[in-house]
Amino acid sequence: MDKFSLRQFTLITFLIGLAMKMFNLPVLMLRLCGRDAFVVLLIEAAADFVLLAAVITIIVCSHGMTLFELLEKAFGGVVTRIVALVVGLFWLFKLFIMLVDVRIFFSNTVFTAPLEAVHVLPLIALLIYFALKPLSSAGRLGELFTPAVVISMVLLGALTVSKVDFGGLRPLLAEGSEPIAKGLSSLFMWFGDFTLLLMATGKADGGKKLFFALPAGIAAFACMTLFSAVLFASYGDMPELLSYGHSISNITQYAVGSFKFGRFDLLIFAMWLSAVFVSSGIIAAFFARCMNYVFGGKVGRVILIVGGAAVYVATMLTVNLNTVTEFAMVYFNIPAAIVQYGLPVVCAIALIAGSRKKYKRIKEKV
Amino acid sequence: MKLTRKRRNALLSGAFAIIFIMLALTPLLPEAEIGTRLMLNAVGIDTINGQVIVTAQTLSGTSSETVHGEGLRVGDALEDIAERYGREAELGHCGLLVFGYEVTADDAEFALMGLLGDAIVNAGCSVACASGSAEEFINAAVGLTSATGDGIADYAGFADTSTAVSVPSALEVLQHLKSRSATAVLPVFELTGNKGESGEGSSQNSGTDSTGVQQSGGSNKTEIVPPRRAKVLGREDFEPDEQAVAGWMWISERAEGGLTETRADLEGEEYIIQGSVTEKKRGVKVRAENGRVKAEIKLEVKLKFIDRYIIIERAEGENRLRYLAEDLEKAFERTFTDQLKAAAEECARSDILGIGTLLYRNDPSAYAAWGSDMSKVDFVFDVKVTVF
Amino acid sequence: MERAKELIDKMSSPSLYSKSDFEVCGKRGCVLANVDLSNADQLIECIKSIRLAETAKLDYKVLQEKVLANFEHSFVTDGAEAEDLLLSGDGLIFLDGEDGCVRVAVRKYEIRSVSEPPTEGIIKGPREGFIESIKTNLSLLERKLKTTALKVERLKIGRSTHTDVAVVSLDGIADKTVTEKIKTRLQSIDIDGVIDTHYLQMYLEPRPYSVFNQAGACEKPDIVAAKLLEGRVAVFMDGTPIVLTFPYLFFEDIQSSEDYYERATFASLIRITRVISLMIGLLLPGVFVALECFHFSVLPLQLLITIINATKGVPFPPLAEIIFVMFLFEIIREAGVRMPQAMGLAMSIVGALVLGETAVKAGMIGSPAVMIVALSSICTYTVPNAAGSSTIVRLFMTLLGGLLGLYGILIGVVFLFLYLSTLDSYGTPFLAPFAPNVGVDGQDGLLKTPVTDIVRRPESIPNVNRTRQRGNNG
Repeated sequence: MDKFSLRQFTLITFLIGLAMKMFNLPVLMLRLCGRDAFVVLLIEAAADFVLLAAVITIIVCSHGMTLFELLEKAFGGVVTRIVALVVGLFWLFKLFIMLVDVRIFFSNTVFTAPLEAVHVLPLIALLIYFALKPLSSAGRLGELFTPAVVISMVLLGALTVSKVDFGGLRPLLAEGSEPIAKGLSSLFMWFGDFTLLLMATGKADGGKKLFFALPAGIAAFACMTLFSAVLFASYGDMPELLSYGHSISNITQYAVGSFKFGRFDLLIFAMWLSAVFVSSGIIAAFFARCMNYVFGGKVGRVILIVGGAAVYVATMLTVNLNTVTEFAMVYFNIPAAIVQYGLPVVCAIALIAGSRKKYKRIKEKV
Repeated sequence: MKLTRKRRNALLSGAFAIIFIMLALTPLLPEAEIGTRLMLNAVGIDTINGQVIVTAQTLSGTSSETVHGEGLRVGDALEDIAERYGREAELGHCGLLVFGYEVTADDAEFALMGLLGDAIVNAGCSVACASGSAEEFINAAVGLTSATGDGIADYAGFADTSTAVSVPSALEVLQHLKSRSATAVLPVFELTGNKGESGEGSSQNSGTDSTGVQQSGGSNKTEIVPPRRAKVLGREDFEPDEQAVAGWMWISERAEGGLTETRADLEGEEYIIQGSVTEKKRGVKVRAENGRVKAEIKLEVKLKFIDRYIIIERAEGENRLRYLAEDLEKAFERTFTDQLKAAAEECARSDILGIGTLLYRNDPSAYAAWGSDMSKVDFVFDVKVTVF
Repeated sequence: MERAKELIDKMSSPSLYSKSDFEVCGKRGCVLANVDLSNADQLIECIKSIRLAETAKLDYKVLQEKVLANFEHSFVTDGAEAEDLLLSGDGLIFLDGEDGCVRVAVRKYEIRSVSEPPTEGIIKGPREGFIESIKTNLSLLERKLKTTALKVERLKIGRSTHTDVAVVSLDGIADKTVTEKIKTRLQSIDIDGVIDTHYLQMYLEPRPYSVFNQAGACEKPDIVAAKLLEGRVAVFMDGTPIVLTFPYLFFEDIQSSEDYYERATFASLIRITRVISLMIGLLLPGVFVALECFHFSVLPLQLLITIINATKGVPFPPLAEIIFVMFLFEIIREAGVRMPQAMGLAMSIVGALVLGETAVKAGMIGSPAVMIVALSSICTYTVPNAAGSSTIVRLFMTLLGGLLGLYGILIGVVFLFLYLSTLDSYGTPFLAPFAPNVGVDGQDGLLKTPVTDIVRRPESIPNVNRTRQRGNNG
């Protein structure tokens, strides 16, 4: 069944809200903006919240039409195919960024030696398999993993929050608005994930009740903001100490006596990471559906596999993983903004144009 | 994609073949990481003539030994250890970093940046200072602990008690060094000898028991004592006196309790009354005012006095007890205030109370204008003690 | 008589069949029966009744109404059916000059008595179990479900075995589409013979190549009755005590009949224990190997030192060691099942002492590995129905953990859940009621609700009548 139930949609929203922002983004923001990264995070969270509301509105107002049907109705088949191709390729690149983030995280934090490119292969195979399954599978995975993610966050919060001096977040805006502008203009690749939910247009039960997903998005942001605040407060004076990949795992360094009890926080992180794998799978699924729409079912599947292979080759050829992050920040910033924030706008225009077309037709008949 | 039976069978056969081949090849995998590492439990770092000397305790089963390495940086010294002993040093389970007494703020910062930046040690690892060289400390401590099979780092746990200077983590030390105050306070662990080697140990032990394993045999009896001394690393590296250390301790967030004593004049007789802090509320507020900085230090303490029977005996009736208690409270307040004043005076050398950091957080422009001039800081103390 | 002769001549071993001729009222006839499958006494009584019949004339009508009044009988016109009945052990009475024949029920099979099934032992509750006779099994079920809604649809499957199969459901509760689908699939089976319900299971499951069971298998009438009451369909087969039920949920493996005969609180605790056991059983070896190979910083210091000391001198890398120990355990388990009872005790000692203790002392394997694998094996057997798939999944996770560490195990877990979430059993998601979440079904999910509060039938099982209880009960 290629549908999300209301509960599944809400939980997937929560997971997507967390996933991409869990790894290297807080460190990236800290190095880019210093303490003002907190302000940047709040602004981006607000923007993403508006994006989520827009996406849910589009889904509710689509009246059962899928994303591509919506676009096709308003703009025609050719334009829709172009849009689908561009969006699909963007999601493929975003998937690559996520896999790079995963690889950095595991190389620097979980493993004692760097993760080889070949280790990414099983993950890519998993994502290809995920992309071939119906939406209900993604929804069910969300239902299974969300409790684990929530438990892990509660545990991490319990371990860390009481021991942190949140005064370290201050002073904010000490260097004016420049760091904030820098942050806002460089990090679009890591935000705007809720655009993924447009895949559920016409395929989510619940009608107006889908707006219950808004609190889920807020909950995701709240968790993200809290743990980022812990990182910013702790490392605000020494961002150079952190390299990409240490990231959010550093917040659990407050576990006193961990040399005696072991780094059990890594096990907790493993539970949290399931959200990343589910989100990555959804990105792969969106890419697959775009390609299916543009090229048709059989060819689309082949392109999915080719896309997976391309991501793997790109990962293999990437010598310095940090340069990928910088590349994304410099060259893919604007495309990320256009696709992620622009697609809902295009859909909204399509909804209006599509409804007017119908109205026009009715008018003509009369 | 529906598979034909033939293709399905072929895929399954292929999958089984791969699994069996992988199973058969597993003996060819390299041996466990676990077996190739040298687990270091406590690490001592000395810097002599620009050379970093690392002395560490390594644990294996019931025995522990010391290993040594040298290099320009801590990382180089650890590589030296790997070369000498044929196994890579693993500091993930390191619980204690001990710097030599001669450590400077720059040395400590450099070492910790190297260790934490590369995630060699856990940022929660305790950091302390030895009363002599770190090498001496580790060697003696290994001798003490080898009988029990414990690690030196286990002693950091007991030291982090209400009776002593609390032991900060590596991240905390680095945070303090990198903050605007640029000052960190490390507890000093010392080894005391029994043949009157130094009077340091005995004067620190008042009101507490020294714990630690005693070396058996021989004429020297060496113990590790809970740290009541502290070493300040900052603009100036120095060891503050006992009063200043106590004052700093009361304001420190990490130390929750503590023992203290005061001289109280009760009806013409002077007593030394000891108290145990059961509850502590502290607050430091810093603000700029007319070109100067006002630092308000507030301390509210609930104290249980230890020699209560002396007091109770003297009390006749409830009112008498209340007056006696008020006298005691005033005496303790004076003691605390004196200690806080002593700590504040030491801020002129290095900002142990974190005035600069707090000012920067509240008002960065005022901080810039202040220029870290402690002479422009006016301290106001508000101490309230409740005895019971 | 020619018809009888033709029938006997069809058999490859005519000596297996007896033919008793008679002549009554000038009418000649014969009685055919299988010597091995029929009750000799009943057969003799039947022949006696015929020969001593006091009747003016003899035809099938008189035979059925008067002569064989004390026997279970029926009239058969179809030659194939007659052949089938003869092969099943019934007697056939042919009369010269008349079409068709009369079947008389004189079957006698050697069957064992109803006893507690060895695979589903419980402490409290009914101990009856199915046996190899479909007739007995259906009678056990009919005792539990004395209702006109009990629908039993019979089939014969297998060209050589002609095995009796019965599709049982409750009219007005089970969804007819499920029953029809099952019947259609069974009717499409064209095989020489079926020996056990597992043969049928492969035809009825959506993914027969999967390592996971997609059909319920039980040996107890109380469990089958309970499942039928929830809207499931049961498939009985002659010659096996195992009854299949559809649709099937993964969580049924975690449930036990005893949960329904214990207090709800205790049952809930036990279910949670089973789930945790299963997780430990599947993941523990893999996680252990992963921690030993890649993430030893996760281990507490003292445990780490203990493991280092325990694995000193072991010649194998951790993954190979664990795989070797797992292989040893499987050998011991399989030998324990297969070996004759007389040798069982001696070989158990060999297995435990020689392979376990001595191998550890010799330094071939480490004691942590033995302990981990032993614990994992015991944990998987808290859910015995899933033991087969658990063993395979456990091996898979161990390989992933040993090669890719926690990252590999996470990939494995996500893949496993993704795969399970795509499994479907006659319209029922395999992971219901957890994924998708079916709120009402939570009353009999991880936490067990007392039966007084279970008002509605499970929504994850297709059924046409949601109400189980009416009014205020209890």
